[in-house]
Amino acid sequence: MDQKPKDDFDFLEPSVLLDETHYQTGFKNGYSEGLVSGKEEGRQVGLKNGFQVGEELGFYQGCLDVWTSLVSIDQDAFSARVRKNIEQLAALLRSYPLSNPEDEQVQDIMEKIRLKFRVITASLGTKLEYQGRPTSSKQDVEDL
Amino acid sequence: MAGSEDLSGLTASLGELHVESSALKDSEISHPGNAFDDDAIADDDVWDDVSDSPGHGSTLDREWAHRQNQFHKMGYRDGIAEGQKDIAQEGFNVGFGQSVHVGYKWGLVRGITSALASLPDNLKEKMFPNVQCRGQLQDLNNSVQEISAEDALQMFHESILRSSHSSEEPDATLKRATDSSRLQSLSKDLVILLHECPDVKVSEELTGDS
Repeated sequence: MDQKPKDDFDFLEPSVLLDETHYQTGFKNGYSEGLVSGKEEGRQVGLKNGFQVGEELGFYQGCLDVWTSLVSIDQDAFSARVRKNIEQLAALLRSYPLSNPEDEQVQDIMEKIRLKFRVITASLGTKLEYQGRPTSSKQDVEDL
Repeated sequence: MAGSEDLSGLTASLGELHVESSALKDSEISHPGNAFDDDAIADDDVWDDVSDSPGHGSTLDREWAHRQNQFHKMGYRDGIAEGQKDIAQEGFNVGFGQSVHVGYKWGLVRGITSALASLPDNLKEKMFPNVQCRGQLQDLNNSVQEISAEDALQMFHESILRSSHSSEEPDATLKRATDSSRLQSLSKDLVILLHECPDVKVSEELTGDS
């Protein structure tokens, strides 16, 4: 006749607990090292992305500076419609949160900037374009 | 008595034979003893094998250590992944902050030179009445165009590597390293050129750092 045990003691429990202890020790050590290596990896990605984003925005701002200076010299240099688009581009560039890469709107604003820039260059009849993106044309800027 | 002497000789000879036989027997007796010793040694080995106490304990120790090591490794691997994930955004922000303004400044140079070069001749003449200035501008634009976006990024990355090997403050070394780069020298060339034409108003970002 079998005798039922008084309680539900699991004779494997001490072994499982010891395994968990070793897992947690390993996790703690790995986490500490992950913070070090992860921060450096993140920084490298940030360096590349930051330079690329900054360069593209600087390019648009540089073009804007030239066009704005030209308008101040000669009001008739561009049509009223082009001047309006130039002002809109200026507003978009001012709205870009350059120092806050986590802002959820950065991609949306960048797309609007790119679109407005293309509208202006099309109106001016120039092939001027930012050549930093992989898909962009490699054509040299042509002097008109 | 001669016959008596002969008998004595024979007795002596028999005596010698007897002694030899005893020696042989001793030898035979000793051999089984050696065999017994060998068997005893074999028994010891067998007992060692059979008992298996030290060997068995050693095996258990190795298995246990292996199990512990496996759990430690699993935890370690998961810990690294979790730590890297938790810090990734912070690391990205650090790197982004270190590069975005350098990239922006170079972008200004590229944008200004490209836009000026793309203007119709009549508008160029309005902005740069001096024909020599227009020539210098074209030369500068050519130099800028020779540097692709990939080249610029690589130059910046190399300057960062140089500054990271320095013991100076990061900001100071970054500034100095950037100053020594071709990107910086072209930026300065543009600023100098634009000073000769006050009508062109560029971003303070470009002139501020020079």
